[in-house]
This record gives sequence, C-alpha cells and structure tokens, in this order.
Amino acid sequence: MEATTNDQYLCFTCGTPPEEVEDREVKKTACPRAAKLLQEFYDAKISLDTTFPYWYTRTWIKEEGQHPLVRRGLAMKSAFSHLEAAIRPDEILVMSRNKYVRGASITPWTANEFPLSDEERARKDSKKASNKALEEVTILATGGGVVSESTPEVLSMARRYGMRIEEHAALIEICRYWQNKSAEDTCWKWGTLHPEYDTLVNFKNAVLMAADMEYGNRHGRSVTNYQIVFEKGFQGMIDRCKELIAANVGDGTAVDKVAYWQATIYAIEGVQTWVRKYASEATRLASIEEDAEQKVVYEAMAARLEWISSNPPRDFMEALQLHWTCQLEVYNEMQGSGFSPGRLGQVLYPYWKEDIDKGSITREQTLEVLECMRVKYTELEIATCAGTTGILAGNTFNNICLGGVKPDGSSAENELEYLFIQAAINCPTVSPTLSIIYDGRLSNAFLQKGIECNKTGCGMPAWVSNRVGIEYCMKNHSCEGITLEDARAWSVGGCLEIQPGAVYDNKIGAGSYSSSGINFINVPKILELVLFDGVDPRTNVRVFPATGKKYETFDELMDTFKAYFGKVIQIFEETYNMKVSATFELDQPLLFSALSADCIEKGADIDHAGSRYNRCFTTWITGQVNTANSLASIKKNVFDDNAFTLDELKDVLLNNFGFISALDTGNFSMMEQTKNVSDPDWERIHALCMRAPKFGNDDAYVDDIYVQVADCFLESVEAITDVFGNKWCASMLSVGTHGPLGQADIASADGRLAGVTLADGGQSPYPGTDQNGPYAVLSSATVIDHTNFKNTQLNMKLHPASIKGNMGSAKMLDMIRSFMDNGGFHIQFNVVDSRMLKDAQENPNNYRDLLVRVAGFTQYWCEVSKPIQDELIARTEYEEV
Amino acid sequence: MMCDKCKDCTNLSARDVFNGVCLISKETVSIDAPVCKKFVRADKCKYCSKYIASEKDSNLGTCDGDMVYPDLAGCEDFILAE
Ligand code: SF4
Ligand code: SF4
Repeated sequence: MEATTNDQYLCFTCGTPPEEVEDREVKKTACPRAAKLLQEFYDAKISLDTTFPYWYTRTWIKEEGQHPLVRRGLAMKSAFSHLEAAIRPDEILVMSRNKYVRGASITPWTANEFPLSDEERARKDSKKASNKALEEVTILATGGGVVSESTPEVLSMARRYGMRIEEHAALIEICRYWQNKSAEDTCWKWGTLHPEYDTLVNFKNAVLMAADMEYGNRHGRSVTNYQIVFEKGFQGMIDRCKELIAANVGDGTAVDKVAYWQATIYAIEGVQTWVRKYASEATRLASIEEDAEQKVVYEAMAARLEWISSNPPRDFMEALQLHWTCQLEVYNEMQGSGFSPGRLGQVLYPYWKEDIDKGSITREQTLEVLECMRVKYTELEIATCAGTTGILAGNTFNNICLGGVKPDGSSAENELEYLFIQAAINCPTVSPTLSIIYDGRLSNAFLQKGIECNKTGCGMPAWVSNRVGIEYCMKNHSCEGITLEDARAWSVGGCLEIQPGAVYDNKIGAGSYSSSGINFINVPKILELVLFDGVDPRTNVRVFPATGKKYETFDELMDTFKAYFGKVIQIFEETYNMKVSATFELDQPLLFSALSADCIEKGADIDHAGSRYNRCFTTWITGQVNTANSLASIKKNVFDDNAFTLDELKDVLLNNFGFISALDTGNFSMMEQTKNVSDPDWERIHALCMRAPKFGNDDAYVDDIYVQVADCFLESVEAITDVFGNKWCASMLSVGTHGPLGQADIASADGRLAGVTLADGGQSPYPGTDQNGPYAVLSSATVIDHTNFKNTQLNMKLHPASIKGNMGSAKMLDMIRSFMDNGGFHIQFNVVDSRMLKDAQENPNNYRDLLVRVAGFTQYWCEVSKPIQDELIARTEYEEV
Repeated sequence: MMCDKCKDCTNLSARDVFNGVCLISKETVSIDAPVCKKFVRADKCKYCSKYIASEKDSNLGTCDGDMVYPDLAGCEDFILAE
C-alpha cells in the first residue's frame, strides 16, 4: 500500500511559505466582561429544552377549531409566555432562546421525525423522499460544545444536541402527536402527488440534493426589519393590528386578514410576557445581589426590559436590547437559519449618535456591549436532523452588512460601524458575521478597518460588491416594481443571499421573502448519471431511464448533461412549490412577518406574499467547479486527444483510480490519500485527468465550460415559476454541503477521488489546482455575469505574511478592488498558515478559539467536521498577493 | 423517592444539560449535584398539587388530563403540593 500526497499534480501552496509557522498579524483581546461570557460559551454544551414545544403543542390541541392562524397565534403566545428567564452573571445584554447558553428547541409542528426512534422512522423512510441517505454519509464535528455521545443523564440527539433524559419521553409524545400533521409529513403527502414523485425519491436516495428545506429550514436567509418595532414598539404594533381589525371587521372577504392580525397580536403578547419575565428576574437578582455595582447593572436591565416590552426604544441600549429580543423571537418561532440583522449599524446609529453627543454612553462602553452582543449571537443554535446539521455546520448565518450606500446614494458608513468591526477584531466569535458592501464612495479608512479585521484571521468581513447587489435587485425584482431606493438599501440575508431593501419611513430597512428552496444540488452527481446511463454508481439506484447512448462527440455528452441538469431542477422546483404551499397554513412566520415591511399593512404574512418583495424561491448548487473540471478533462482526454475512452474512464472511476475511498481512510482532501492497487493504465489515466485544465487558472478551455454549466443552471432554474408567480432564483455557494455531497460522490474525471470533499463556494478553485496566482483566480471567477445570481462565492486562503504591514494591507485592498471592478460579487479570506491548521487538527485542545472561514460563514475550528477541516487545510495557500 | 438537585433550585442558572452557575456562590455546579443549605425550590410540575405521576413512566405525568413532565417549569397555576 502506498501513501501519496498527490503533490506531483497538485500544489497546495502558491509560492514558498516562511520556514516558521506564522500567526496572524492582528491579535487583540476581548474586554473582561465579554471574555468571561465567552469562557462561559466555550464551557457550554449544546442543549435542547422542551418547554417551548410542550406549551405550543398543549395549547394547539386545546384550541382545535379555531382559524388556523389564530390557533397558531394562541399556541405561540402560550409557548413564549412559559419560557424561563435565564440571566447569567456578567451579562448586560440579556435573553436567550431558552434557559441554556447554547439552547435550542425542536419545532415538531415543522419537523417531527428526526427525534423519533430509528424503528419509527424506518416505517416511513422506505417510501419517503427523506434525508436518510444523506444522513448516512454525513460526518459531523465532535469537538467544542457538541454532544456527540449519550451519558446516563443526557441523550445525544442528531449527534449534536444534548437532551436531559427526564424530558425525552415527553418530547417523543409531542413528536408523535405531530405525526401526519406537521409540515414535514404534509410536505411528504403533497410531494407524492407529483407525477414524477418516484424519481424524486431516487434523487434523494442517490443524494442528488442535500437536505430538505421545505420543512427543515424553510425560512431564513433574509433580513429582519427593526424600523417597524423601533418606531411603534410592541404595543404600537399590537395597536396597529387592532386598528386594522376594526377597520376591516365588517368586510366579509377580510376574514383571513383579520385572523392574521389577531394571530399577530397573540404572538406579540406572548413575547411581551417573556420579556417581562426577564425584567422580573433582573429585579429578583438585584434584590439578592451583594455587589453594589452589579446590583445597579441588574436594576438598569430590569428598567430597560420593562420599557421595551411595550414601548419604542429611547436610547442605544434599549434599541440594542430590543433588536436582540426580536432576533430571538424569530429563531424561537421557526426552525430556520440566517435571520440576518442586515444594516444594523446604520439602523442603530441615530440612537447611538444622540447618546454619544449627550455623553450618556462612551465609545468604550459601546465596544463592551457590542462584544457582548457578539457572544450572544454566537450562542444561537437551531435544532435540525443530522443531515441539515451537516450542511449548516453548526452556524446560524447572521450577517451584518456595513458600508454600502444610503437610499439617496451617498456613502452609508458611520462611526458605529467602525466599532462593530473593532468588536469582531477583539472578540473571537463566529457570529454575527460581517460583510462590507464595497462601494467606491466608502472612505479608505473604513476599508482599511475591514482589512485589519481580516488580518485577525476571523474570516470576516466578507467583501460584497454594491454595484452587483443593486444591479441584481433592479434586474430580478423589476417584476415586482422595485425602486432604486430599495435596491440601494439591499443587504445580505444569511451567508450571502442578496435581499432587496425596503425603505421604511425613509429609513433603511428590509422586507422580502426568505431565500427558500432547493438546498444544494449535487452537480457532480449529475455527470455521474450521464456517464453511467442514468444510474447512481455509488448506490446503484436508477435515477433516469436507460438510453444506451454512446457519445460520439463532447457536445452530445454535454447536451445530455444539460438535459439531466434541467430535469433535476424541474422536478425539485415543481415538487417544492407543491409541498411548501401545502404548509402555508401550518407554521406561518407570524413574528418574522411582523418585522418585514409591509405585512401588517397588507394583512398577510410572508407566506401569503405580505412582504414588499417576494421573488426569493432559490435553488443552490454545489460542486460546479469539480463538474467543469471533469467535463474539461473528458473533452480534452476522451474527445480531443483520444487518450482514453469513456468506457476506460468509467472503469477507472469505479475503481477510484486504484486508491482507497476517503470514507475508509478518513482523509477527505486530495492532500493525503492511499493507493492500494498500482495499475499502470489507471495511473496513466489519473495523471491525464489531474493534468487536464482546471478552473481558477484563467484558462479559457475550462472557464468556457464553467460558463456553460452556469448558464444551463440559470436557464433551468428560471424556467420554473414559484408559488407567487415569479421566476425561481439561481444561487451558487456551498455552506457546508461540499463535505457530505463529496462523500456521496464517486471519483470524478478531474482526478478527485471517491468520498473526497468537493470544491467549496461557487467560484473557488479546487484545492491545489490553482497554480497561476491569485489574479488568475479572480479572472476565472469573473467569467460569468454575477448580477444574474442571487449569490456567488469565492474563497481565498492567504498566508499571514503575504499581507503583512501597510504594504500588505494595500495589496489586499487592491486585489479586492480589482475583483469588484471586474464584476465579481463576493470574496472572503482565510488568513492563516496551513501548518497551524494541521497542528490544530492534531491538538484541538490548544486551539479552542481558532476561527476559520468555511464558505459563507466563520466557525470555530474544533466545531468543524473532519471532511471540511481537511478541505480547509488543503485549500491553496497564497504566499504572495 | 425523589431527591432535590441543583437543577431544582431557583438559584441555578443552567449553562447546559450538564452544568450551571450557582447565582449565590457564582461557582460552576453540576445540575445533578445534591443541594446545599441555600437551596430554594423552583416551581416545577413535580412539586405542584395538580401533578399526577404516571405509573408506567417516572418521566411522565398528567395535569388536568394533559400530559406533563416532572421537570417542566411551573406555570401560572402552580400550587405547591402538600
Ligand atoms: S444555592 Fe445551593 S442548591 Fe441552589 S444552585 Fe446553588 S449550590 Fe445548588
Ligand atoms: S398546574 Fe402548571 S405547574 Fe401545576 S402541574 Fe399543571 S402545568 Fe405543571
């Protein structure tokens, strides 16, 4: 058996790294208060609490017969009202999803199956288009706060969450109640009505797609609008709903609207009770606190909470607390991810400026509370099945956008946003992630502040192009009559999805439907189906009918690839339309809708097109770079050079080029793989596959094929209309899907071996294959028109030495500018020495706070799964910019 | 016989399903640790007069016919059992 590093074909460094491992240039420390809270976070295990689902379900049962919306509003009110208040020492910004630091709750009215026993699930799984096949190949992280194993007192659920054994029997009872009633089961029943449902089941069994989004993670990748609650306060929102009920109650056609307003009132009342419980708890803690200073902190906290439970905020601290309460209420209401704060620094700025001018807050105090806020966001958890957990990689995708322009087109940067960046520099936390909306009108000092943050290695800010964002909105939301002001107010929802703004009362805000849809199509698998005549070669599942087609030309093969790609997208999107519309009366987002312009005024939640902009149904893809590379290899080797035949290729792919599968070696990058059969012909073919043109080198041979893949994707996606009558949207990023989907793929014609993680992002070259320097990567990445896609994504790994000092900062900024000027949308960086990552993999206990950028999000290294860790180590490291 | 633990005390701020911080001592404690002299019983269903324990499963009970579980935080109708 022969271990190989594959470095005769691949180069994992571009340039020569310094002899000694080099740490990041910028290293700061969190303020004492945030440092203590961060330590508490590091010590905390991810924990499930049953209070919310218990009271929701008990009230739902009791209220049978009510209008579905009213019934949901009452259930929501009950669930929020019964949550416990948990305030921890050293907190100034308070409230958590439930009593635990890293607490989550299962929402069984949405997804009720995964907590049930394997036997119970198995009864349905045989006929269900389920995540089971995906879960089998998903490898999850085991470090940090993950509870991967059960103890006598605590059960490990979905290999990530800890649950008290005392609560498990009740949770199972609750999940059984929701059988055949939940969104998950409703989706399944409706999905079966599609004439090609059996093909869909085979798609899922072949892992042609990552997890189901229609119930598991339907809402999110959106931006919360705080202007509404900041203007009216919770009581003002309730009063507005009451006014609208009074004005419409005599209209017989307005029943659903009245029900919506009444449900919203109930849900907000539940939140008010929850906030007041916190106020009471703060008062109680003040009464037993012996430390005079801490007593004052508790008293101020109690007064702030009591005020915001009804009223609009009067100052920065009240506004910050109220925004956080809104974030939590949305996460508790739904099983979703990526409810982003958007342009939070710009929304909060007027409150802060007034306080600073008055002298009621200092910059140091602001920084302290912003660091504490970062810990709060980092604590957020959502509970999903193992398959979805693998995709999300434990992140909740809360994105704060900085910079950009105001609705009038002038620069939007402000001093508070500098403090947002400084808080991320000081406090090593994963969330909220930061994105700078790059625009030529931003000051050099502001951009340099962003670079300083990048140099900490925390992976943020990501850089996104304002021009592309605005152009995307104007082009893709013109069908909904978007205004230039709203387009300028755009923001990133989730890790990267462009969401149009919704200027509210002349202020920057948000108001669009969630980015929801087909959660990552496994593009390399489609090429496998082409080569193996419709059969998935890993599972032997027949996905498409046999044709026996022999390909005489590359174009013929490409035509079949495009036809399959289109068919896969069509079936996924059509069934998604059917399935989600069947759930619109089951788990409506009442509170998130109330925080989206213009739902309350229209009398409709976001599932009933209440938002100002609704063209957001989205299909994402993963592995398109591997696919373009594989197609280039086939074109060159099989059709141009006749170096081997398609049958020879298929044979060698099935035999993994003579190597052991990554699933058996446990190594998931091309850096370290093990050969067990030395066959000279297989070796020859592998060498030719590896040497074929690769995306990321400014090579038109392969870049043109990449464009064809992207065009086919866009056309197929837009060919289908969503439930609101708009075209579906196309999106290219990977999140954590390049791990599990790679594990479900056999070896590919680009030379990648079976089970090895795919290329990350949308335009990131495959690790070790980009050998012509960073500007060649940027050239390849801009061969497509980025304004056609809801997002695109490029990751780069820079050695800290490559951007050291002022000169290094200037070079990095030049590179970003060049990318944006050439039409790129998004670029993000890992600034790290790969040898440090290798050491961290071997000695995780020495690196609890090490952060890395994955694909659209930052994560603690120890909470990243091995397949993604291996890919991060292997990503090409640039020694010079 | 049911023994009180730190998880049953109002002075516990639960960190996770294993540990918490005692708000009196400010120390980390196991939520399964036996209680100290400063213990103040939290309102939980298992201490409520309406709670009827299930004979089949010690982790389930009923309250006015509705399923409840012993460690559920007490609701607004909580009345301490005799
Ligand atoms: S006061 Fe005593 S019983 Fe209560 S949490 Fe602290 S140590 Fe445990
Ligand atoms: S009345 Fe409330 S506290 Fe008492 S058993 Fe019922 S639910 Fe629990």
